[in-house]
Amino acid sequence: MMRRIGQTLALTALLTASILTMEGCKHIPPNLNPQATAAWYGTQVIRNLDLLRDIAQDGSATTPPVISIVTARKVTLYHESAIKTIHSIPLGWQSIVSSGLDELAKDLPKAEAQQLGPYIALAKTVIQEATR
Amino acid sequence: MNEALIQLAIQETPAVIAGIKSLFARDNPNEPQPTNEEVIAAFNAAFASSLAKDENWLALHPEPVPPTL
Repeated sequence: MMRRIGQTLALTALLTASILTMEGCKHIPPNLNPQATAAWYGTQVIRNLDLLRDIAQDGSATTPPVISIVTARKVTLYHESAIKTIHSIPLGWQSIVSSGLDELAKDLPKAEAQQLGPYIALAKTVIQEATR
Repeated sequence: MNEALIQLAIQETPAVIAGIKSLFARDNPNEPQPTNEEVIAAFNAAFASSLAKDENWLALHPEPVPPTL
């Protein structure tokens, strides 16, 4: 039963991530100055990291939980650190946040890393977009 | 199992609807562009609300203390 819930969660995640990737590919408004451009990309990344955090927290709140509290805490702590970095270093956060995301993925149990994989991949894509 | 899936579907529905809306929204060249100030304000607001959610959740889910012998 747990496996089926996990598979359904992964499928839902993949569908949501695919749709939101399209949203993440929106073009930046052409009239922005460098500071606002950095803020625009920062907002996109924060929203996508929010998605990763929300699915981890929501998954830990289901009955039975499909994500452990330990994993949800790890994701939330990473998220908190990442958005603080994005906010405090708006022009140089990309490599720190990206490598932190890699470390987070390595640190998660395999099954949960797979469940959260689409969200992690989506966040990586949006971070790469902000790095260009 | 059904309860968990329904609960998850309810929680994820707003994100899915927002994504679908954006998929079918067409770019209008005459649509007013956001100003620098608006974009920076949106960034600060997104940061503040997101951080508040982290802090609230972490306060409700403290790190488990290992049992003492």
